[in-house]
Amino acid sequence: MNKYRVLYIGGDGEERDALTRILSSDHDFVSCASIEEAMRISLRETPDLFLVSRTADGASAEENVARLTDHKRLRNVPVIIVKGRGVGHEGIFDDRIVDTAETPFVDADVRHRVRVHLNIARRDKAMREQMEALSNGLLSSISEMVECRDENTGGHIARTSKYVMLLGMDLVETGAYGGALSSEDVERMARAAPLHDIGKVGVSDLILLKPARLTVDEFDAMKRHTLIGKAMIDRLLVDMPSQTYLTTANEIAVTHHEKYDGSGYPYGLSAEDIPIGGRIMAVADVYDALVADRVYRKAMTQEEAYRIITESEGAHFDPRVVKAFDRVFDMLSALSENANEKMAAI
Amino acid sequence: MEINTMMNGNERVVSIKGRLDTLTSPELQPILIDAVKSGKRTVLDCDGLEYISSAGLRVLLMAEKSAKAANSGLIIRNVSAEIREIFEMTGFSGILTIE
Repeated sequence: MNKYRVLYIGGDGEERDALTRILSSDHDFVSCASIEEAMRISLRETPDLFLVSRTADGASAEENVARLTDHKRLRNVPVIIVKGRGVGHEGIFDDRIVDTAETPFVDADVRHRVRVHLNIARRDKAMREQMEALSNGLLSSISEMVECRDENTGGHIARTSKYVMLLGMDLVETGAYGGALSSEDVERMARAAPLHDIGKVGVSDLILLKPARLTVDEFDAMKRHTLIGKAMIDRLLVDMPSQTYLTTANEIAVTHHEKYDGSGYPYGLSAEDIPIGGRIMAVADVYDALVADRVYRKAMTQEEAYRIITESEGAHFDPRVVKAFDRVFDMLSALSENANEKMAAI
Repeated sequence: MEINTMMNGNERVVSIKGRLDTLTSPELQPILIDAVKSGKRTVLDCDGLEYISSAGLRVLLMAEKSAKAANSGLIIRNVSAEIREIFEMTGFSGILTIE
């Protein structure tokens, strides 16, 4: 069985040696002398528990906990602080601190505390994973149900989510939106993307599956899938407010047909008024519609699709997303060709 | 970024440590492309890989294409859970051979 990783951060050699003696036979015990080193080590391999003490730069245990960057991978790692017996707490409260180990150590006591908190953390983690799997599973079945009705678009949902991820990663890497777009935002957008057309469940089959051009009234009804999607996700949010990506899903569902010049629907938003997720989704959505094989027609060539999207820069699409599209086009086309080959093989 | 190349039997193993992004991708690109073009099966050992950006993904795609053309094969090995998630979310897990 794999051992749990316990990471000790502290500047006192004696303390470190004592903890090594007490913990290293049962756990994967790692020690480091500074917060910077701790961050490097823990971002490479997330520890299961932190033991935090004072460091040589004079920072107290509590100050060091505060300096452990609020990185999403470390957010749920419990922290036990190490303090001399009788040394008061500083009144700094951090949700991550679950206990105190007092020096001089009583071996059995330290072992016990570490084991108890590893157990609780393991249970918490299993619970979180189950919750996440459950909500992801439910939401992806809902989006697949939507897709099932529209036989023409097989795989569209899965592909567009990948395109959103690639476009977003490029936009983060090139700093196109400065601090307004982080890797976490992009990940949330990619997770939210499968719900972009969820409102189509509220559009009549006669319109959704009509094999001919839609009348003006029918097209108006079709456009309402954006608002229906928003209403549906609003309802999901009431039951699952902790699923922050649903807020992103909401924005994407309602704005992915807006156009940069204001000529889109449902609101006619333009430029910066359209959430970034909606602007990225717009490109991913149109690109996929152009290059994916459909039952009733062969896909457009990659070159034609490239031309259509780049020519719509500033009119339909945000110029920054089109520049990202241009930069990742080689990867998008490899993915879409791969998808078409797989569809053809079925 | 640290890049090491060695032979392991019939395989060429390229090990990378650190971040694979806009700054470091140009270092890896020629090494990896040369490796797959040599006709030997190439393993990219990602044990020390902490982060991959879209520029890093591009290098892997180019290497995969060269490996196909040279009929040599490229295998991505020892990928951390985070990097694996990025491969999955971008669809690269359907293009690359990941062990």
